Amino acid sequence: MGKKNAISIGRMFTTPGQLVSLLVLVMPLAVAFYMSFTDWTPTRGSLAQAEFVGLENYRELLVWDTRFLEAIGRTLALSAICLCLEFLLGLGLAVLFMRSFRGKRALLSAFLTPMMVLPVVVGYTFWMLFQTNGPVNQVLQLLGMAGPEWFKDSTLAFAAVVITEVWHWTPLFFLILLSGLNAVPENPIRAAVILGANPRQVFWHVVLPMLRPVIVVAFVIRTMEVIKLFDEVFMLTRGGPGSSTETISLYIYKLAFNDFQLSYGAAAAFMVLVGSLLLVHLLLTPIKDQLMEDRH
Amino acid sequence: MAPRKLGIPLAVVMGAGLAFTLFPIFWLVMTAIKPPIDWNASPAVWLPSCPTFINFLTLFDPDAIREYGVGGVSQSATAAVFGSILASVASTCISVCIGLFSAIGISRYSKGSRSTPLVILSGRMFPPAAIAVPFVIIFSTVSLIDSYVGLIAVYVAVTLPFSTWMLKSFVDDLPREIEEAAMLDGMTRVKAHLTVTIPLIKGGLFSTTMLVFILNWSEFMFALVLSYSNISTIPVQLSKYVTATAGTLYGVQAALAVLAMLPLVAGGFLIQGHLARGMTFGAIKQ
Amino acid sequence: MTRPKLELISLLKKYDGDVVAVDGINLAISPGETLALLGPSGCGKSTTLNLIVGLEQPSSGDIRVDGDSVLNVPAGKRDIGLVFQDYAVFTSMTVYENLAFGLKMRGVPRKTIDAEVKETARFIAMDDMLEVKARDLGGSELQRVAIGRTLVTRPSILLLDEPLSNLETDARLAMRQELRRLRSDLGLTIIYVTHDQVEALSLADRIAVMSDGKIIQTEDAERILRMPGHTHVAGFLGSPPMNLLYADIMKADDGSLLAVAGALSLSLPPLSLLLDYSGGMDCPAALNRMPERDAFIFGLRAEDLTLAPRDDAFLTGVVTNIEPRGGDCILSLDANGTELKAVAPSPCPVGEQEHVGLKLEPADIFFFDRNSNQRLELRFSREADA
Repeated sequence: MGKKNAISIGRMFTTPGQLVSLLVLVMPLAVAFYMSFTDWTPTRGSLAQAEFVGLENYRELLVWDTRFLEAIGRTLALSAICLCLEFLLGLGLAVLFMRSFRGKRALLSAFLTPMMVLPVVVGYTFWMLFQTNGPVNQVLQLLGMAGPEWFKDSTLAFAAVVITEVWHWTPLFFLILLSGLNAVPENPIRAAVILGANPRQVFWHVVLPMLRPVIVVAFVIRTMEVIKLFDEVFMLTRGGPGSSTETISLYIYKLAFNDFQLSYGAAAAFMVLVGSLLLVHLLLTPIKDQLMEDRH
Repeated sequence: MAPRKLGIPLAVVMGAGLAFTLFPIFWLVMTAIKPPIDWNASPAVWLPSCPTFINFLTLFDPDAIREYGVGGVSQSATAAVFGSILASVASTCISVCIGLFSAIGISRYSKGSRSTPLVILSGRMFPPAAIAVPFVIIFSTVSLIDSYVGLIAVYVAVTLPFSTWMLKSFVDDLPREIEEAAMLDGMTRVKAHLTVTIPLIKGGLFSTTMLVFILNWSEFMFALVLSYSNISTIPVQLSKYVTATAGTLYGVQAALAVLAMLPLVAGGFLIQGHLARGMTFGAIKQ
Repeated sequence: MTRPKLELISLLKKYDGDVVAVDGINLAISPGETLALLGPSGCGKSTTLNLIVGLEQPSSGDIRVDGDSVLNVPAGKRDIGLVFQDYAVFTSMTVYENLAFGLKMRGVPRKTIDAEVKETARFIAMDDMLEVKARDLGGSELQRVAIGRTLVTRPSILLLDEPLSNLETDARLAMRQELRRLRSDLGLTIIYVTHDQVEALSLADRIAVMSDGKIIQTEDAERILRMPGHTHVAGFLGSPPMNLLYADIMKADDGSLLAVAGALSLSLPPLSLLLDYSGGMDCPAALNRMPERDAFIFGLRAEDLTLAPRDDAFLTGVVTNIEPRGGDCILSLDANGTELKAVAPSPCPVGEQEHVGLKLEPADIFFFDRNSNQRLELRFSREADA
C-alpha cells in the first residue's frame, strides 16, 4: 500500500471536519474580525457598505470605555477569587478522599453532581436560594444575623455570584486533583517518610511538586471557562445592581444584542480573545518542560 | 501503605461539604414538588406542605400556564423540551460522527495535528457572545435564523473541536499494530478503521457522545440569540420565566429545571470514569 | 560474640483476610555484616524491609536495633535507611535538593547541610551534577542519588531493595563494585534484597533464603551453595539448580539398597556405608534406624552428573535438550520418565535424542526429609569405591 494512498485516506477522514470548522467557525470569526474595523450596525444597511474605521473601535474601548475596562477587571477579579477558592476546597476534599472510609464511591458521585447541572439551572437555583425570603437568609437569621437583600447590594451580589460559581465548579478541581493524587507514585512518599519527613512536609515537598502539572491543567481549563462566564450571572443578576456583577461576556452580549453595537462588540470580543490566549500561555509556561517531556 | 482512616473531625468537615453540595439540589427538587401556596412563602417553606406533581403537568398545559396570568410566559414548555431534544440529539450525532473521522485522520495520518489544538483553544476561549454576532448576521442573510437547522449547525461547529480531540485521545491509546494486523489479513485501510478501530473505542465513543450531549443540552447563549418565536430550548424557556414578573412561577420553573437536569446527572454518573479526561480535553487520562 | 546490630524476633505480618506475608522470621545480623535476603518475587522480602524500616507495623514479633525494640519508633527515626528498587528519587528536585532532603526535614542548619551534601556527593561521584534536575538523570545516576540521599542521614543500617535489577548489565557490574566499596568504606550494616543469586553470592557475607514468608536457611554465602539446607534452597540456588527426585529406598535382603523414583530405579551402595551425622553417629546407628522402606527426596547436583559409558553408568536417559552456555552445556534428560539436568563439557559430545549414561558419586547424593523438606545429615561414605 503506497504512502500516497495513506495520505489521501487521511485527507478523506479529516476533510468533513475541516470543512465544517471552516464554514461555521472560521468564516464567522473572519466576518467578526472584519466587522470590528467598521462602524456597522444593523440599521445601516448591509455589512459590505459599512464604513471602514480602522482601529477606532479598539481605541474607543481601551481609552474611553470604562465600563469595558471595569468588566475586564471584574472578570479577572472574579476568576482569581473563584479559582483560588475552588482550588483550595477541591484540594482539601481530594486529600480527604485519599483516606479510607465507607461509602466512598457514593460520596464521590454526590460531590461531583454540581458539575453536571446545567449552568442555567444552577443560576436559577441560586437565585431562589438568595431571595430575601429564601432559605439562605433563613439560616442567617437562625444564626442571629439579619438576612440582607442579596441582589440589591453590589458587594453581596458579587459574593452571590462567587458562591454560585464555587458551588458549581469546585467538583471539577476536586475531580482533577483527585485523579492527580491517585497517580502520584507511592515510593517517593515512602522514601520521604523514611528520610524523616512528617506528613505535612511530605505533602508540601513531595506530593505538591508532583501534582503541579495537574494543578496547572485545572487552572488553565477553569480560566478558559470562567472568563466566558455568562449563563449563571445572566440568571442571577443580569449584571446588576447597576453593572456591579457585569462580566465581560455579559457586557459584550448587551453591546451586541441590547444596544446593537455589533462591530464595537466584535472588537471587544477580539481583545478578550487575545487577552485570554496570553493568560493561558502565561499559565502554561511553568509546566511547559514537563508537558514536552510527557510527549516523548 | 494502607490509607489512613477518616477521623471524626474530618468526617464532620466532609459532612458540611456534602450539605453545601447537596442543599441547592435538594431545594430545587423540593420547590418542584411544592404546591403554589408554598412557592414564595415567607418565611420560606423547606418541605412542601403537600407534595404534588402538579407543576410537571402545568408545565405542558398551555391553558394552565395562561391561567397563572404571569406576563411574558404564555407558552407551555412542550416546544422547548422538543427543541432541546431535537437540537441536542441531532447536533451531538453529527458532531461525534464528523469528529470520529477527524480523530482517526489526525491520530493515524497526523493530518492537521498541529493546528487543531490552537483552533480548539481559541474556539473554547472566544466569548460565545462574540461568535454569536456574526452568526446572527450570516444566518439572517441565508434565513437560518430562528430555525433548528441553524442552531444545530452552530452546536456542531462549537462542539466539533471537542469531540475530535476527545476521540483522538482514545484512538491514540490504541496501538497502531492492531489495524496493521487487520490490514495484513487483506483488509483495506478504510475497512480496518471502520471494523477494527471504531469497535475498540466503543467506551470512549460513548463517553464522548455523552459529554458532547451535555455541552449541547446545557448551551444557553446561542439558543438565546438565535431563537425568536419558531424555536426554543429548555435553557431559553427557563430564562424567560425569570424575565416574567420576578419569576413567581417558582414551582413550574423548578419542575422544568429538574427535568432538564435529570438526563445530565444520570449521564454524568454513567461516564464518571471518563469525566476527568473529558473535562480536561484529554489532558488527564484517568 | 558481639551483640547483634539488628534482630528480628518471630516477626509476623498478616494482612486483612488471612494473607500472611511474613511468617515468623527470626534473624540476627551483626554489626558491619552484609546479609542478602534471597528469594523469588512475592516471597515476603519487600514486606520484611518495610517492617524493619517502619513503613508497616508487624502483627506480632519484635524488631530490635542494638538490643532495643524499635516498634514504637516511627519510620524516619529508626536510624535505618532504605533504597527502593525504583529509586523513588524526587524528580522535581535537583540532585542537591534530593541529597539535602533528609537533613532539611530534620531541621539541620543550612551550613551543615551544605557541607554534608557536598561530602556525600563526592562519595557517590555526583559532585559535578549537583544542580541537575533529577528527572534528567540516567538509571545508575538515579541509583547513586537514591543511595546518597540515604547516606547523608548517616543511618547505621542500610536496606537495599533489589538495587541492581533496573540497571543495564554494564551499570550493574559497576554498581556492584560501588556497593562493595560502600560496605568497606563506611562499615555499614547492610540488608540486601534480591532474587538474583549471583548478586547475592557476590555481595553478601551471609545469605538468608526466603520462601512463602519464611526464612528457610541462613548460611554463609560460601556454604549455602555447597550445602543447601532445604529443598527450596536446593531448587532455587545453582545454575541449573539441583535435581530433586522423590525417591523411595528399599532394603534388599543382602543389605544392598535400591532407590525407586517413579519408573526409575537406582542401585545404591550397601546400607553399611550410609552414615548418619546428625548425632555424630556412624553406620550401625543409621542401619538400625532405617526401616524396610523409606521415603526421601534426593538432591543430585547437575554438575555431579557426568557423562559415562552406559554399562558403567549410575543411570541412563535420553537427551531431550542441549543448552550450550559458553564453557559447558546443560543437558536435559528423560530418565525413564524422570526429568533430570546434567552438565556436559562443550562442545557437547552427545546429540539430542541420544541414549546416554550418567555417572554419579553416591557420596554426592543429598538426602532431604520428604515431610519437612529439610536436608538430612545422611551421606554415603566416600570409601564406598575404595
